Amino acid sequence: MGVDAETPATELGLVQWFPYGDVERIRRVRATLERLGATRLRTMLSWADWARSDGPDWIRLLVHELRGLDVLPVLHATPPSLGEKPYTSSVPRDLGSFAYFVRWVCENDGGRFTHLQLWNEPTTWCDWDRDADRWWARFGEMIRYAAAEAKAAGRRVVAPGISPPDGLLLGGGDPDRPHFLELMETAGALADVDVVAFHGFPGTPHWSQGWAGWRDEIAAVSGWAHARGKQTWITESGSSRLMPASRGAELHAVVDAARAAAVERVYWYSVEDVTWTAQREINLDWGRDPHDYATGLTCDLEGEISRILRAAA
Amino acid sequence: MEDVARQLVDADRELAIDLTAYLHSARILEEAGSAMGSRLRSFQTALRRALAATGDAVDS
Repeated sequence: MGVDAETPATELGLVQWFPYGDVERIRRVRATLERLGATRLRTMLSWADWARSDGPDWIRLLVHELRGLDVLPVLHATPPSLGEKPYTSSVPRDLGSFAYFVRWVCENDGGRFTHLQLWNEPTTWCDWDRDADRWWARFGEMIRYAAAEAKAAGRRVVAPGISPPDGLLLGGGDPDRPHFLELMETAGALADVDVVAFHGFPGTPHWSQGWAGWRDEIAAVSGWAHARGKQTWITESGSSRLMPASRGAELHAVVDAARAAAVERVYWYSVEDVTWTAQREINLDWGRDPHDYATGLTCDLEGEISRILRAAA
Repeated sequence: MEDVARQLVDADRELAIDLTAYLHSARILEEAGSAMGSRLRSFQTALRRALAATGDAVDS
């Protein structure tokens, strides 16, 4: 399971969300990343927070506090007042309004971001209101406009990380279970996308139902993406520390599988436990499960991450 | 145009949001080449800017 120094490095990053106004958490996480030797962070730039009266200042502060890190921002969360329903997972009434937020980020990031990821896990009900848009028809339109805006601003576009990846459904043509990526392609939403992304949490199995194993999931998704000239990243993997599985083993499993398949980036979720309660979501699934809150690093896992990063340096 | 957008947002934010949605669904983006399309798209952008400036009224 160890890391083979001869294998080309997969870049390992970490994931952390920052609740609105929690500057202390940003500084703590920065310090943790520095301690581990990590330089890549994936975090959310919340459209809903941006839409607060002082939201733009919060986003600017977040970007400033993370200076010096290679940040992959995930632009996510409908401002409740702009949604069909007053929730962050709602379909926006104006499907072009997300593109306006994307443009604002590109105009205000000081050139910091090379890549933008558009939305997080639209395959889960708490991140996208699938009761209102079951097969992502309107989501695809929203992303098509947003991706074009990011591309016009010179950014590389990362597709939303999907969870579970359902890689084995790709190409299956099952009309009852169409694959998200194929629907997005049909909608033209991937035309400006450079990187396809998926998430996997096999150590916490109820988060990754239908999981086929790292090798098969990566092969299915990256094969599909490669045929279209796109890269594949794993923008979230991780596990609840309340589960019996060894998180160190989970980490090595994803990194080793990613290296073997030449997947360029893997992000591990998360640096700190979730100590706040999710709000403003259509929160059918997220938040009731204690595992959702227990994803932060522990000493043993920090040691494993540090070793992987040092070996790749 | 910016003033008109701000006044509409101040007077009736819900109507302003619905109007941006309507302009989007009317495919103004694709019609930007015409004079009418160009004016309406500019107004749509002004509305989005004015909506962003007023902040989200729904608290967390």
